[in-house]
Amino acid sequence: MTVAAGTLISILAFWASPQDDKTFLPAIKKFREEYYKVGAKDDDKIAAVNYLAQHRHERIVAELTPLLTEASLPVRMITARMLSQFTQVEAAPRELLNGLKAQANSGKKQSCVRIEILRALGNLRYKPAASEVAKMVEDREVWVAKAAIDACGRIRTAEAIDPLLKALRRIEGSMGDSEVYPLDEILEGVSRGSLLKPDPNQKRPTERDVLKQPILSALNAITKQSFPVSKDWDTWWSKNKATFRVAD
Amino acid sequence: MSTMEKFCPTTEVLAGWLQGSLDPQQRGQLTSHLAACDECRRALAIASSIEAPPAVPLNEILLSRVVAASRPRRVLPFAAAAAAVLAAAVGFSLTRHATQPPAPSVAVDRAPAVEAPAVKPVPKPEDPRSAGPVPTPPKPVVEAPKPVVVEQPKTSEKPVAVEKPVERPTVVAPPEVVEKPIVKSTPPPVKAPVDVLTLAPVFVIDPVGDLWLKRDEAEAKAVSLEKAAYKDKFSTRNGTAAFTLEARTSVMLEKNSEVAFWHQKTDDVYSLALDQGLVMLDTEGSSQKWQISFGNTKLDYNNLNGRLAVESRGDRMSALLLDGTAELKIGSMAKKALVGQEFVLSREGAVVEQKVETQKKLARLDELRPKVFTAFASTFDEKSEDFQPYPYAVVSGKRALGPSGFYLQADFAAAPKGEKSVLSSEIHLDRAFGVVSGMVIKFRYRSSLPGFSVKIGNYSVDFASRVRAGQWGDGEIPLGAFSFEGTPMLPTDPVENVRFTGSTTQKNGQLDIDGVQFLRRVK
Repeated sequence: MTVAAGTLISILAFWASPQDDKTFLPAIKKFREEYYKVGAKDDDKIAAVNYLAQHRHERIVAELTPLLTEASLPVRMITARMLSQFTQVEAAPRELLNGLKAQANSGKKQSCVRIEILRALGNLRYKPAASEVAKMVEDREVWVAKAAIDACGRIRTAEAIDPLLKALRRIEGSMGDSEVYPLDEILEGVSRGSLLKPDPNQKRPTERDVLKQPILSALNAITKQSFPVSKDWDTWWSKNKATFRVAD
Repeated sequence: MSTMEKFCPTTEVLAGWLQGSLDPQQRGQLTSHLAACDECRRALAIASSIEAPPAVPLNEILLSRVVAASRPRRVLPFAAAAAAVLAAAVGFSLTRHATQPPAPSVAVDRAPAVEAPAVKPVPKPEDPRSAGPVPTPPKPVVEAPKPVVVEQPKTSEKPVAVEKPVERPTVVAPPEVVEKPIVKSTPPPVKAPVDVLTLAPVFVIDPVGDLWLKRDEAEAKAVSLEKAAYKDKFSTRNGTAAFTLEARTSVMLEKNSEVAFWHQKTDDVYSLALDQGLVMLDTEGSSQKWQISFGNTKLDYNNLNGRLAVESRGDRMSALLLDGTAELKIGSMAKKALVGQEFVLSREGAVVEQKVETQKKLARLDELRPKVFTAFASTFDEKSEDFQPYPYAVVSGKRALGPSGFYLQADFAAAPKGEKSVLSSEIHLDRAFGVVSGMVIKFRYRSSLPGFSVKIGNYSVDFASRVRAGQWGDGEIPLGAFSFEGTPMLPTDPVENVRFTGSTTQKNGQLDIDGVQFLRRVK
C-alpha cells in the first residue's frame, strides 16, 4: 500500500514538474562533463559555470547552488556573479542568501565571496535578505562593509537605517581614521607586502574616505533625505522613525 | 651538293606537322621528305623537344631559328647544338610563363586588396633544366582538375614548388619518342573562399622553431610579427614550430607540415587549410569558430574552446579534440565533439573512421606550444594606416617621440593649490580579451612619482616605482593582483582598457609608459 502511494506521488510529481526542466538537461549534462572532468582547472570550471548560467531557471540555480560553498574561491565568486543576473528566478536570491550565511563563507579568506554575494543580493533587490545584509554594514572587513552598504541602498528597507547611522557615527569618530588597502590581504597568494610595496610616505585612504559617501548615498536611496553628517541624520530619524515608510 | 635546301618545306609546314594540322596529302609528302632529309628531321626533333607553351600555337619564329641553326650544320657543326640549348632555355622560360595561373576569377582578381606585403624573396635555386643538356620533353599532364607540383631536384635547402594552375589548357601531343616527366601528385592548393574581400590576413606573432612562410615562389623564415594572406603557406621542415595566431590562438606545427590560415572578418571564422603534416590549435581559453579543410574535406568547429589536433595521413585527414569543448559539423552532420574522439576523413569529405584514441599525443604536442602567449602588445610606434594585430586607441595622454621611438606620455592636470595634480594616460583595446589564469601585464615606465596606479576596467593596483626619476624601468603585475573593492580580477573578466594614473603635489610630473603587453607564460 505504501509503495503504491509512493509511486502515485512520484508520478504526480513528475507530471506536475515544469516541462522546462527537460530542456535544460543537455546543458546540465554538458556542464557536469566540463566542470567535473579530471584535471579541470579553475578556468575550465569558470567557463562551465558561465555556459550553464546562460539558461536562467530554477533547475539551473539548483545545479549552481552547491558551488557557492564547495568550489574554489574564484568559482564561488563567479557563481555569485552569474546568479545575480537571475532576476526572474526566485530561487536565485534565496540560495545566495543561504550562501552568505553559510559557515563555509564566513572566514576572512572568504571575504571576497561574501562581497560578491552582497553585490548580487543588491542587484536582485532581495528584501528578505535585508536584515542579514544590514548586519554586515558593521563588518570588520572594510570592503565587506562597503558591499553591504551598497546593497542596503539597493534593497531599500527601513531596517537598514539604524545600522547605517551607527556605521556613520563610528567612522566620523577616530575609528574612521584607520587606513584601507585595496587588497587588505584577502586575495590568495597575493599580499600587499610582497607585491605592491607601497610608498610608506604615501597617505592611504581611510575608512572614512571609503565608507562615508556610500553610507550617505544608501541613506538617501532609502529615505530620500539628504544630510551631510550623522548628527543631522540622528535628528531627522528620531522624529520620523515611528512613522517612516520606504517610498516606492 | 645537297638538294635539300631547294625542296625543304617551309617552317609553317614543319610547324603544321608538329601541331598535327596538315592534311593527309601534305603529311604524306612531308613524311617522304623527312625520310630523306637529315636536317629537317633534326629540326623537328629539336623543335619537338622544346616544352611548348600548351595554350598557344607553336612559336614559328622560334622554330625558324632552330631550323636555320640546324641547317648550316656542316659549316658550323656546334652552332646547332648551341642554338638548341638556347632554344630549349627560351622555350622552358616561355613554358614557365605560360603555366602561371591564368586570368583568375573575379573574386581572385580582388585578392590583392587583402593580400599581405611580399616577404623578402629568397634567391631561387637555379633551374637545372635550363643549365643541363637538352631536356626530354615532358608529356603534358592531362588530369585537368588536379593541379600538380613538378618535383625538382634538390639543389639547395630551399626547394621551390612550381604550382600549376588549376585549369590546364589543351596541349599539343608531341611525338611519341618523348619520355614522361616525373610528376608528383600533391594535395590541391589552398582554395580561396568565394569572396576574398571578406578575408583578412592573419597575424603571426612570436614564432619559434623552424617556421617558414611561403609566398608565391619565395620563401623566408617567419619573423617576430608576420602578416600572412590566405594564399600564403606556413611550413616546417626538419623541426617543429609554434606561434601565436592573432593573439588568440596558439598554433603548433610538427616537422614537415604545411598549412595556410585566413580569417573571415564577417563571421569571425578562422580557417586552416592543411596540406600536410600535423597542426595543433589551442584557443587559449576563448571560444572561436574554426573551419578546417583538407582537399574537399571540410570540418566546422563552432565554439571551439580547447585544443584540437589535425593531421594528414596520405589521402586522409584526422581531427582530434584533445581537450575542451566544440560543436563539430561535417557536411550535414552536426554533433558535439568529444574529447579524445578522432575523426578520419577522406579527401572527398567522407568520414572513414571514428575512434576514441588515447591522449598519447598530448604531451608531445604540448612541448611544441609557445612558452609565452601574448594577448596584447603595443610599443606606441605602430602606424595607424597599417593593419595591427592588437588595434588600440589612445584615450588620454599623447604619443611622444623619444630616442628609441614613441612612448605614451601622461596628461598633466594641474590642481588648485593644496590639492594634488593628476597625471593620467589610457589606451582602449579595440579587441577585448578575457583574463586567463596566470596572465600578467608588462610595461616600461619612467616616472618622477614614487608610485602610480594601473587600472583595468574597475580593477586597479598600486605600483611602486623602483627606478630613479628620468630612468626607464620594467614593471610586471599579475592580473590576479588587480582588485575592485576587495574582489580580485577573475578569469574571463574582460580587459578592454588600461589606465595609468598618478598624483603629485609638484607643479609638474612625469609618467611615461611604453611597451605595454599582456602575457601568459606557459609553465
